[in-house]
Amino acid sequence: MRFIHSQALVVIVASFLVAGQVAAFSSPEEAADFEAFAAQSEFADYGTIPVMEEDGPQQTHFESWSEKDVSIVPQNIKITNLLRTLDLSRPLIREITSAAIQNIAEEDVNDYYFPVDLAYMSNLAHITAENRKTKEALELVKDEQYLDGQFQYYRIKLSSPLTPGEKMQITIKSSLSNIIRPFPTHVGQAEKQKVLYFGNPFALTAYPATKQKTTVITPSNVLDVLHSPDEVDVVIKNNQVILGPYNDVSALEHGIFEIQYQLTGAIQHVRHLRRDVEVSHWGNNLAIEEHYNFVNNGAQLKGQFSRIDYQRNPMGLRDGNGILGFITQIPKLASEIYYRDEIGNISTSAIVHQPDHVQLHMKPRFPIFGGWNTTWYLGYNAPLDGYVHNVPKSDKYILKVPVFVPMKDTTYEQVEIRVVLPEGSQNVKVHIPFEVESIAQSTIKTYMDSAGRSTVTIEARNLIEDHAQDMLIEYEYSSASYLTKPFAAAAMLMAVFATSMIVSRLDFKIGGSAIKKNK
Amino acid sequence: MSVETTSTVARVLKPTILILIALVAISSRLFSIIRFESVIHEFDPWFNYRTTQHLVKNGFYDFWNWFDEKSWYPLGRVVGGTVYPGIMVTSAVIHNVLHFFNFPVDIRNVCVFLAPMFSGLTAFSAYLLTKELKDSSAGLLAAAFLGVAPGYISRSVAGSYDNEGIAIFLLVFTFYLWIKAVKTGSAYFGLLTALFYFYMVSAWGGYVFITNLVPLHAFTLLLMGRYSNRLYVSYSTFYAVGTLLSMQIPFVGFQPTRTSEHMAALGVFGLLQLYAFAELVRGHVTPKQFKTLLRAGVSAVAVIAVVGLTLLSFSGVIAPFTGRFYSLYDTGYAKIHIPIIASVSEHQPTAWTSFFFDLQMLIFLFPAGVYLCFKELKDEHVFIILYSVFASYFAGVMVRLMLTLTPVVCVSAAIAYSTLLDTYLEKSDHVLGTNLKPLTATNDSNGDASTDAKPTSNGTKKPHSSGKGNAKEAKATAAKADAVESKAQAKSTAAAKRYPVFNWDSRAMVILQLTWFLFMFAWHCTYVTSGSYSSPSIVLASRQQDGSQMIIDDFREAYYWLRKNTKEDAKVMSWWDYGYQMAGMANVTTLVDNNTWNNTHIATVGKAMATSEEVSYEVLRRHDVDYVLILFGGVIGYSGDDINKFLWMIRIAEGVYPNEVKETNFFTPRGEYKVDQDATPTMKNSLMYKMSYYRFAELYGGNAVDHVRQARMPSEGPKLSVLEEAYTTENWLVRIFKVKDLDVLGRSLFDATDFDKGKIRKTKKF
Repeated sequence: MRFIHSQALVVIVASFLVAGQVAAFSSPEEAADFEAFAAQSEFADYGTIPVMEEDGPQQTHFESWSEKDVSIVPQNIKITNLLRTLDLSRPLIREITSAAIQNIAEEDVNDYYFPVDLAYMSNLAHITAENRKTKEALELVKDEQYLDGQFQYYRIKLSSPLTPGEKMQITIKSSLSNIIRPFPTHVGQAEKQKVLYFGNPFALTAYPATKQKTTVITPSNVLDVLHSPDEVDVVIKNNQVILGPYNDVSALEHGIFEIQYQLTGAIQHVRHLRRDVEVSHWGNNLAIEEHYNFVNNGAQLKGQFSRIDYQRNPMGLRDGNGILGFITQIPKLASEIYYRDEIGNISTSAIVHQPDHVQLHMKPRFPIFGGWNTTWYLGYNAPLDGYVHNVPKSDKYILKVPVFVPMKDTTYEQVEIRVVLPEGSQNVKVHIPFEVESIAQSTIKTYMDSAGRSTVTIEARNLIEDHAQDMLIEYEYSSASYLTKPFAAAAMLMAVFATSMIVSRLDFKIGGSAIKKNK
Repeated sequence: MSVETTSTVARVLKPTILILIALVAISSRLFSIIRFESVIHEFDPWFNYRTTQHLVKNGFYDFWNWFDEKSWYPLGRVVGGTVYPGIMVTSAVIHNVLHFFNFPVDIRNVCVFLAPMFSGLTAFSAYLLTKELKDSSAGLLAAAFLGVAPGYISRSVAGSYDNEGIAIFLLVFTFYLWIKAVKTGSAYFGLLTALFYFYMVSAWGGYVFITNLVPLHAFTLLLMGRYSNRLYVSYSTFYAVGTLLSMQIPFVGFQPTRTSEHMAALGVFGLLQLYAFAELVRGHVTPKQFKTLLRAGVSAVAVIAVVGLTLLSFSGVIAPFTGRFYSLYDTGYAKIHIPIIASVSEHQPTAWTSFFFDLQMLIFLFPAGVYLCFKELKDEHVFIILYSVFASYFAGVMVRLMLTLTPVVCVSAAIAYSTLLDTYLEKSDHVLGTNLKPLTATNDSNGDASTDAKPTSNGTKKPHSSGKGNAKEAKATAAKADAVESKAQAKSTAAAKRYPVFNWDSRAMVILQLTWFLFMFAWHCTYVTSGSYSSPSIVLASRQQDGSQMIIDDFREAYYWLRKNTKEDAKVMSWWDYGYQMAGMANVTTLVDNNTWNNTHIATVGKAMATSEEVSYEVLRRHDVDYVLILFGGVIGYSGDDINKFLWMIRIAEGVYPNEVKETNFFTPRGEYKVDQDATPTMKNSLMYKMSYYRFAELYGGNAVDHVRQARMPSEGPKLSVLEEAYTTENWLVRIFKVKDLDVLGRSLFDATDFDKGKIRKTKKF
């Protein structure tokens, strides 16, 4: 278990390093070559991607291919160069498209359109766009208006209008979940799992591209590649596949590209996560409880689980896709941490204190091999101070909590977040940094409630690590509401006493007071 | 201190002490919760928990009509009709009330804490009961004793969600109400007795104890010539209402009119009617005429009763005593006739040491208390004497019935202890003022005893002839018991025949010794509770060398795996001990469970375990078994595993399938039960043996030692052909095997397994 996580950690650290390099390169003085920049900055630690010459020998034209209908998008932009990196090194696929674009119209252009195949819409977990030079995030709008039968176009608002002939570079980062599938579908418990990725050898664009290239990075040696069109040779080098460069690619060009590679470790998937956040002003407490319904989507276990093979060769599990444990983060000041399931406490957990947070090492009751399921829930209390801020001189409070705390490399299919505010909160407003399915408000009654507590229920689909951001919930909570609780408690006790007073004075004796009381 | 002040203080002190006793009773039952977790810790209560969940989720009527197709596959079980619903309904009511007031307490917590909460109530009812017998100070002692007595704690710790948890409270409280009814002759208390009897019937099969003890008490009073209108009113009310109510429980149904266990109550009811009638007649005729009438009447009734009962018994209208009942009479009965009853450890006769272990000093105070009851010998004392005699007998026969003995031991011991305290704690001027002459009764209800309080007639024996006189006296007793503060009362009970004790030093000796006993008792109770009765069964805890706790959680590991990773309607075969737990935790269909109603079905499972693969495969296929679950303690030395229970499986299977399973074949020629290389071929071929030791030898590289039976295993382990290992827990405690499907190529599974292993079987020559 520790080993698997240290691997994951390596990847994370690596990606941090990469991020650092990106930052280094991004200084405006550095007028690095576009390609070299892209190649080095994004995945520098996987080796250098050979820089293709502008007019390489493998020039191919795809004009024979039928022209796609992109009439829905104004054709006012030309892509002069496009580099796409497809990172398959983790179960979650990251696609980074860097496009150098040029305004070919007569007037200013404000928007760039990025098409996503509707078949992949449910896999698209996260998408962002930025100006590649300034690192300025660009606003991305998913507009119903730009939806045709096959594609959804994301409208990216350029930070400043592109004057005719002007060039700029845009980077679009998207994450795709649940797209790889294990093949062969069954593996032994200590056997390496192989997966297939099926996709488009071209970067999908709404505009014709003069030149484009795709680099595919896999975690280990590439086993097999199938691609079409095969006019251009793919370059397979250790764990990289380079598709292209293709010249003069028309808009919405597509082909076939399938790759098989080894992917160690599980494909962690949370079918359903319910996260309850309960705010108590009286107790100065934030109670969090998370219910997980988990499945390992990796290749299924071949035959049955053998304890003896596992005990004799515990290291063999490194190669297999069984999960021995999870690590999650909880706040530094969390107390009363619990990790349970439907039949009680899961006794195999550990708490590791880190400088700025607490790590909860959760070991499920049984190792979770491919296709195996489990459920659990965990919860803790934390002091409210760090999460709720009172807007000075008002009844207004702002609650700032993470939408959810993800585990590494895990996809979350359905996430339901319930935020229970104190009884008497009003004018609840919710700010969530990404698109969700629904936000509903209701009231629930728990301990000693008379009117019920305002509750916000947020439902979201297909979340990944990138969604681990803070959400803001604004509400008004008057000081009068503070007193509701003690009054309710007092009234209840009063009722109990009053009832007992009445009951003790009732007399059902036959013959009434004629019979002397035996007191 | 003036008497008024004392009584005011006592008035505040008594509830405070009672509340504290209840708190102690509750908190001393929480060891397992604090050390481990709030969960149902025992095996059997998982059924109660599961049914409670069903009740809370689906409502009462659905629960009543629940046909549980997940147990006793393929027979199923009508849960509503085969269950004592008291505990489930109690928890569900508590749960619903709490939820009504917006206290979202989880049903699990209600179930876990139900028994401790009720133990607080039990302590309170022990107080009430003893107060009726002696006085409130004895009552407080009884409450304190019963609150912490290990004999009761053993079945009521938090997390043991068993019927006994609430039944003991109901038992004691029903007895209290009964005594109160007899004392006051009030139909109100008779009715209350009946109501609580009904509650008891709904909660525990042990209600039969009340069904027999109360009539016995009435009968004894009748024999002692103590018939009174009080007795008539209270018993008639109790019996009529109680029996009708008890018949509302489907599981009981018409038993009160049809089984031998309930006949005594009916007989006494009839007898009382006749007696009352005779009394009535006596008032209207001359004594001589009455004598003739009586003779004729008694003989007629006796003949009719004997003939009627015999006829009804033989014709089968009245069912004979059940096997469990016989085993109470003859401890060897079960062993010979019903191995399934004998196989349960709690049905074994009690070892005498466990009396001391469970009751400590109470066990030697107990006879003294009974003796003091003899000295008083009022109606209620007769009851306690009867109770103690019968409960002692039953507790000696069956370990489990220690539970019913504990309350009466606590009550009697409290009477004895309190009498001792009364004797030795009195202020000397009280004693000096004691009048040794026979004393007259006082009905002073205020109890304004001055320093030389007048002892009342409580201790003197008066003929109990007329109902009126009794009622008067009862009132006096009740009046005293309630109001007179303890010292004055203590004097009244014992002072009349006692010489005063003057010396402070001799008193101090006794008092200090008694106090020392109390300390020892409290220490012992805590020690026993903490050490023996609070270790959960579902997790095994041990200390590691560095002192840290190591938890072996294999049961839940296996059950949760079954719950999450087998198909929803998977049928799992295991020995019946794990049936309830598996249904509750693993949510799978079981073949047999702890409700051992069908001996044949259990024997079939035993047969599948005890026979060779060929035979048992047929049984497994016929019962649609998908998985077989066994316990194997050989790796960590858990002695309650299936190989140790195997002999019972064999015995039970032999009872039904004598041709296929023979116990003698499992013993070596020297009569030993062996699992190593000396094991008999039958043993080695049995499915249980093969499953238990499948690949066990490989774990230690061919030098495996079974740590339970200290047996060195052969280096070549057994081979399995019709099953495959599906899951084995971390410490090998639970092993689950999957029953293979028929071979796709139509080979026998043995051939297929050999082929897979690379062996070539010689084909038959044509």
